[in-house]
Parts: sequence; C-alpha cells; structure tokens
Amino acid sequence: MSEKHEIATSSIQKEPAYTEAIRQPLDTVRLALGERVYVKLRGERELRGKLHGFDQHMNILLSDAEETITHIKFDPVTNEEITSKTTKTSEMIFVRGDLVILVSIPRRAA
Amino acid sequence: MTLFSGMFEALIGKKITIEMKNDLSFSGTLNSVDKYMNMVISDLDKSGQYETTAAKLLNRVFVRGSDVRYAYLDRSAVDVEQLEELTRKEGLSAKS
Repeated sequence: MSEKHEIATSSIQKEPAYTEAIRQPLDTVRLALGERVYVKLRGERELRGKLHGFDQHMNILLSDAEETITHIKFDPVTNEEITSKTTKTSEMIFVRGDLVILVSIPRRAA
Repeated sequence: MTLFSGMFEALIGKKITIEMKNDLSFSGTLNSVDKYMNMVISDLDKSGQYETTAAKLLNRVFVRGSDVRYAYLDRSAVDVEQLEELTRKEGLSAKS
C-alpha cells in the first residue's frame, strides 16, 4: 500500500492595489495603430510613417515612411561637427525590433 | 506563429528587398521564412550593390533574421487592416 504524500500548496494571492487593468507601455503604442508615428533607431536613424503593426520585440511595420539618416563628421581643423542628412521614402517598411530606441505617438492618440 | 512570421509567410513568392545591418541590400523573391525571420531570397537582382565580386554571382541567399535592418515591401503585399487587428489582439492575449 503506497502512502500518498500530499504536498499542500498554499497559493498566496496578493490583492491588487488597483482594480483597473494595469497598462503596459506597449498598450500606449497600440493606441497609435493607424496613426503616423516617429521611430528613433540606433545608428542615427529616424523614421516617420503610419503604424500598422508591431510586436513585443518592437518589430514595426510602417507605410508611407520617410527615413532620415544623420551623418556626423568631425572636422579636426575647425574642431566642429558637420551634420548632414539623407532621406529615403518607402511605401511599406518592416523594421527589426532590436534597432528601435523609441516610438513617439501623436498626442491626440494617447 | 508570431505576428510578423505570419506576415512574411504570406509574402513567400513575392518581391522583397532586405537591407541588412551591414548596409548590404538584397532584392529578389522571398523563397522561405522561419520563426526567427531568417529568410531565403532567390532570383537576386543583379544590379544590387555587393561587397565582393563573389557576392555578385549569388543567385540565392540565406539571410539571418537578426542581421536584418529593414524589409521593403510593396504596399499591396500587406493587408494593413488585418495586421492592425492582429496587433490589437496580441495585446489582449499577453495580458491573460
């Protein structure tokens, strides 16, 4: 006859401090679906486009997007930074999430 | 299947341009994609800029998903309404 060893597990349930759903940062970005957003990327790159999709990795899909690359050159003679910008437009662009620094949404969407 | 894996799977057979993090671009037909967004692109556009003359001879490339910066797509390739809906639903399932 085998003895049943019952391990009593007591689940300690914490009472939530607030009753409403806790919003995660990405929920705020979700509000901007269909709106034009600004995305800052690593490598001095910026994008502006209409947000159609994203995931938890911050992979992003934009339409009618404009990419701006800022080139910074240092002139050792004059000791100043020379910045120049190049832009590129694309009708549909997918952006890999590991490059994303931030996403800015329009005020009215929030 | 994640959100964008599904989107890319629907693009198999369509024209795609991949810009990698090392600034190399590959333009061709999307042959296959996996959950890491690794891709195989075939029938490469010969007019693309490649680093070495050997690369110019390439016809089919395997691109590691983590090395991708952008994927340029045709507007018609994506159902944006469906994608927006799927993105909204992603948020709901993550909470439960």
